[in-house]
Amino acid sequence: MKKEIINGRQTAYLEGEINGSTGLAYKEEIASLFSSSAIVVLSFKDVVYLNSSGLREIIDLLKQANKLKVELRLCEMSKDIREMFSFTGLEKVFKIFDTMDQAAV
Amino acid sequence: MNVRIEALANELAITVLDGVQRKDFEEVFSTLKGFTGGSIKVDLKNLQYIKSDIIAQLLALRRAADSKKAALKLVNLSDGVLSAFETANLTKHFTIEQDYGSYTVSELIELLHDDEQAEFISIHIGLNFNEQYRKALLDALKIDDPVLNEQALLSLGRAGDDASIDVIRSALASQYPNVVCAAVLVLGWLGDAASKEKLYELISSPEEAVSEACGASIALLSDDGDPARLKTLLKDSEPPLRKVIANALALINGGAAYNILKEMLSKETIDDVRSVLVRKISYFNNEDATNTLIEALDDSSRKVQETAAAGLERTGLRGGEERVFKKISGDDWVSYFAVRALGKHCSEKVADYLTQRYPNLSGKVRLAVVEVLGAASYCTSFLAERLNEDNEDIRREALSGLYRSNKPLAVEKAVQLAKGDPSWLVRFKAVEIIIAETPEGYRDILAEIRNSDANRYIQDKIDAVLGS
Repeated sequence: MKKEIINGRQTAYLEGEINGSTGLAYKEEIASLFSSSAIVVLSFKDVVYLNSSGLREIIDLLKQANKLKVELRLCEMSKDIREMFSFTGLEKVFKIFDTMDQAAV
Repeated sequence: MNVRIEALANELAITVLDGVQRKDFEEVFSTLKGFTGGSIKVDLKNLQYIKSDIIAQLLALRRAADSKKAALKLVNLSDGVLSAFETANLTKHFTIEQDYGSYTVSELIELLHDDEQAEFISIHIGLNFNEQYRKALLDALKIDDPVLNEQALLSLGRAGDDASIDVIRSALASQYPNVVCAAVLVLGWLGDAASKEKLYELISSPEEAVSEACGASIALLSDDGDPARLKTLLKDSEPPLRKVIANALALINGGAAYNILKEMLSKETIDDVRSVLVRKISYFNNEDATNTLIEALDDSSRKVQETAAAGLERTGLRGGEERVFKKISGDDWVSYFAVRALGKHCSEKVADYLTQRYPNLSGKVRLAVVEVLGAASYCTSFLAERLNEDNEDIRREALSGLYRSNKPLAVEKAVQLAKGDPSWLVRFKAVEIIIAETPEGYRDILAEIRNSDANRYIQDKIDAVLGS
């Protein structure tokens, strides 16, 4: 997973298919960023498939972030991925931005 | 005094109260003299409007902050106050932010009624959740107020508050659909598998939002048994429920869910539902899903054909090019959508096939070919030849494609077409390219076109550059 710092924010780029197993691996890697930044941004630009198990891992990541007072931001979702967040109401839970520029302010 | 001042380690926090007078700022300036910190925050949440003499004091405060190299920000401006700043053209002189941290818990709960702010407040509560917030939100759920109840539930969900699970479950029995809907979603977010049976009862609710929420939460709470369980609901089901089940199965994903969706597609008679099924099948990362989408290009409904083409364009063909090629024959619409399906995945093999077939295709299929090949970089000569076709849409699309793939050639052709093409649509596109690329002598070229072209849109476009 590609990671970089933009405007002082830790950013990470998810890719491919996010399911139970890839989601778990991503979760552990992303959670390690929480200790070094008050805001962490996840890009979904290269995510092609996402299922409910993958979503559960992302919800779990948000719980961890909240406990540590870290703000988790999501961005660059395709229409399909965004639709999944909308269908599950998670669009109301996460801060979702159209672009990385907007999210990493 | 109607100004409250709190000097923190590095921040001077000033809260302006209702009824503030100019003289109230004297103590602010006095405190500022001894302040050595880096930031000053002025909270205006108590003001519904602001008088000009108070704005003048804030401007003076900004100058004083500048002289001490301290950053000043104004927070929590009401619509009335913000409007006064905008009218005076002062917003650019201040950093203006929303700061929910300066509200009390009860003030924030009251603000949950405000649709525009509710989501941000909820997120703030999620980040700062504690026993005080929990108690306030649970108290809000005891009030007969569906808007407040819904927002309180969503806030508990955003905070991930498992400890309130019993109260959230009990909200499933609310008389208000919006409250039930919120409770259903939150139970899904919290991973409350014990609620799944109740969600299966509610999924057949005549309230579509409740039914959709149940589908979503069942998917979030799903285990291996849920695809089959969802399938049992299909018997005698209405179209909206079938769409909900399709959404849930796509989210669950996996082989069992895919097989049920495919079976649903084979039996579905309603075009609208079939279109949803085809779209959901495109969410599956397997070769059979690609084949199903390719077969759907032959569907009797244009909407389904279009959905299948869009799905293939998005997911790729996984080696299914030959099967799509076979669809480009006979029926115009099947051919049209088959070409569109090749879309973004236009390899040289696809380009070769399409250019060879091109002379035998009908008008709208040809246009689709030009659109698809316009995105490929190796079709320059094919696109240039299309500039001589009779169909103006094809000429215009070919010019657009050429502009993406070979700008110098596109500019050369644009100058010719802007002066002589019979279609104003093509000439307009050509003028756009000339203006964007500014080739040598472009102003003279544009002036010449302006003098000879009677089309008003083209004249206006050129006038905007040259001046009328």
